Amino acid sequence: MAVEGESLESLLNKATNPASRDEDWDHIMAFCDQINKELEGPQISLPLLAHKIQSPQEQEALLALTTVEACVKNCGKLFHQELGKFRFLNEMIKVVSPKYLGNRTTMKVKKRCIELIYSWSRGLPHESKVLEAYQMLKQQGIVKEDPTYLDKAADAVVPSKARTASFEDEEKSKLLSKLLKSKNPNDLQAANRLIKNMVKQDESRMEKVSRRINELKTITINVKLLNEMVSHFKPEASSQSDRDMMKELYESLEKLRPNLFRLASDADEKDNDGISEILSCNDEVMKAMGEYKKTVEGVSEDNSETAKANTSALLDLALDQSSPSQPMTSQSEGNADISLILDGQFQSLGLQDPQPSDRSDSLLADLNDIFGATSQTSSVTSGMALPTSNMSQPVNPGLQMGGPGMMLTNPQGPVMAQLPTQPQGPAVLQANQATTSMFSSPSLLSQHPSQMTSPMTMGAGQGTLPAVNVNASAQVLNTLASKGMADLDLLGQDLMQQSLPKEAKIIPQEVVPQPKLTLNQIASKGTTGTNNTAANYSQFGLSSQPASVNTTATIPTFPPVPQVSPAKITSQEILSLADIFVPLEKIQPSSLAPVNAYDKNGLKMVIHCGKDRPRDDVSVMVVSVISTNTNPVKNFSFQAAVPKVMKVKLQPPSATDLPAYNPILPPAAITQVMLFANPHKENIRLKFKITYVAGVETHSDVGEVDTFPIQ
Amino acid sequence: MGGFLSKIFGNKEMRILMLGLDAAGKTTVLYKIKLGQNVTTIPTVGFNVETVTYKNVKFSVWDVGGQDKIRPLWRHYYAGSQGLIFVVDCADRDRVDEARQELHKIINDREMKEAIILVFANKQDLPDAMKPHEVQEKLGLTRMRDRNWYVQPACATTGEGLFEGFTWLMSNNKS
Repeated sequence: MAVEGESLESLLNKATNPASRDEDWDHIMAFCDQINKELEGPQISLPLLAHKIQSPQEQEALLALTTVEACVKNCGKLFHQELGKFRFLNEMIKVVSPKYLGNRTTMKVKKRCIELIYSWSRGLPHESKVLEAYQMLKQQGIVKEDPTYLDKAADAVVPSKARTASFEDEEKSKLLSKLLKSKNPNDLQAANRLIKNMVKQDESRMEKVSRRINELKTITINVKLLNEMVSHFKPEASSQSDRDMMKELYESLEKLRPNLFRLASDADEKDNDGISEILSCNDEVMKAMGEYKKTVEGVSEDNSETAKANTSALLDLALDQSSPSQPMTSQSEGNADISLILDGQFQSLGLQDPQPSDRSDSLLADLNDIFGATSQTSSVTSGMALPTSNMSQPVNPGLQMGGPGMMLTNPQGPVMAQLPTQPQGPAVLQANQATTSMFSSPSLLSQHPSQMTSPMTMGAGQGTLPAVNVNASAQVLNTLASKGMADLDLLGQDLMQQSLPKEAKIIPQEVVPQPKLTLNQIASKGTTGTNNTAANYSQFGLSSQPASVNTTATIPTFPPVPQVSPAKITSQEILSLADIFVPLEKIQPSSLAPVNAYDKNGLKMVIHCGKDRPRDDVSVMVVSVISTNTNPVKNFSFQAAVPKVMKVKLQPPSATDLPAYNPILPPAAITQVMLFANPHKENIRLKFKITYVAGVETHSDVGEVDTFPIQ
Repeated sequence: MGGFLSKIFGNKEMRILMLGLDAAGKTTVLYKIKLGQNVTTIPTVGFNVETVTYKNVKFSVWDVGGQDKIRPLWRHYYAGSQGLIFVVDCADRDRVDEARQELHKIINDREMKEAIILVFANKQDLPDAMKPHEVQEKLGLTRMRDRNWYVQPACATTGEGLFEGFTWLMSNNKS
């Protein structure tokens, strides 16, 4: 072993002794130790090393490079900082640059130098100058291509940092060494369990992080795409397919946003980077969605302002541990179905009424009584819709600003009440509870052959909210039931007071009553506004309006999304694909030729058509992806969009990763079943986007296929 | 009684720490030695410890998982180890450099200064497996004069070389 207390210089001389054929690890390690021991170890050692690296003797230079690398691995941050200065990097550059020593140094040394600079540029991301230096070498043509096989070694530097973070838990490490020293077999078993737990925790943490990265990546890509399209958007010039694509992107963002809430609530409290990443991503999403609304759909700026307010809401939401709101689409013609579906959906959201059923029944009955009499004629629908909407509306800070709310359309009289329903916080719970009960009362809704076209978004946080709240709201409802409408009025006021004061920002539309009205007042105003005589709730029962009266009552806080777009109307005709699932094994390939959709970076995507149709208007396709890339492909994702006249559904893929191509083994494949609902038998036009990571590079590509052999 | 017997037969005990990269074959070595048969192993998270008595020496062999994320835990096992068995997958040329780094990290630890080093150049049955002298070079052992080390070619699945390795450990044990 090397003698302790030797000077850095003499240790380095020994470590890089050109006479030695091999690395002298004793001296190299002793040199590293000495750097760590000395106060200015890094500062002193790097000039020494630089000098050795420039040695005309190949062996000495190579040994010096090995020593530098050993120091990078063993001497910690101070050494990295010193290494990341141009003072040292310039010396490295001199070795390879033909302007200086480049013509004298041997290929081997040059190669090793470049490899090292490259691996540092990747492994030491904090030392930005290393990357600068490397890029400069690249620009000057000194580096032709990145050294590849070093990736592993370079990356190894990074995980070692992450690794210590999770395992350097002082307490655990003490406990572990205590357990391991014990002679008691039970202690040893405990030690084993402890390690297993540590690994498991670490794994789940890593998994979370990687999931977050993936989701954020997907979202950012969508945002980017939407932003790009919106920025190029010209109302006169843009084609319908562009609009569709944007709409598609907008909707997918809308669907993805709840994931952000979930990620935020899942995130480790200590993981500030992660949370801020999520928040900034949410900002981006809001901005992009606002921009889209503004430019493409022509909705006023107000929304994006609300959007900003909402961004801060995300944090609250996350801390409250509310779960995300879930967008869902329900389409039904039968009215009884509506309540059923709603019931089901609310239940799935964790909104089951915690009260014994008889109690809630009577409650509902009471509510029914209140509204029941009024629900004879179509115009009353507005009456019904109004209180409902009113209850949820004020409490909604409009998380999903400008997002399509819930639409109740009555085919007889175009009564439209559109409202974004996003509850938040405890107040919301109550509102929701109330709304639920109202909706879940079949008789209430069953009177109205109304059609529900949502994306109806409701906060799904209730499941996680304390039961106290639930009870509280149940009590509210209870009293409400006993005291009748007068109390409902009070409740309305209550809820409004709890709501965020955001009404001011929203432009009231047309016939709209003042936003701060109570339920009761709105109910009456809503009807008076449409020339109906119902002045207050007590008159509801008496007022039977002729069905011919067309009422359009728009809720005050509703962002002015003016009309139901034609696209939406057509989409109503397409039956949902939600309930169709075709297992891959059941699909028989048809005789039709497969479509090559993508072939790049060794990744080949082929779309095969299936023979059978699960429903007359539905065709089945299988997307299969094969990789001949020599790097493993990870996080593959395939997204599809079709024109509005049809629908597409993607079933979960068989995998998201593909191993590196091995010419000896048959290539692995990812398969994903894709369903098309195409009732009009239009030509299928498919726009798709695929993203994946091959090796270390992330790829994202979009493409279009319109040559499908079937309709 | 035990003390009496061990006096007669010179029974000794030896604490052996067995390390190496993941999938090098440590657990297979351990159970081949212990049970004389091949066991199907899964990646070890944590460790296995077995006592193996061979030629009157009681080896307590600690086989510690080698996945990179649990390598930082290796240091907890160093104390009191008289011998290190470092298992190398000789067919894994890509990672022999990583193995070298790990080996030097271990043997340069203060608590391992006294340990003798046995390298099992494992998986000799595989085509293109590195030969012992190659392993010795690539692990940077050749020029290491101040330590007692030995590279033993081995094939854990057939058991070849394993007992030779333990014999070396036994005869080179200082105490």
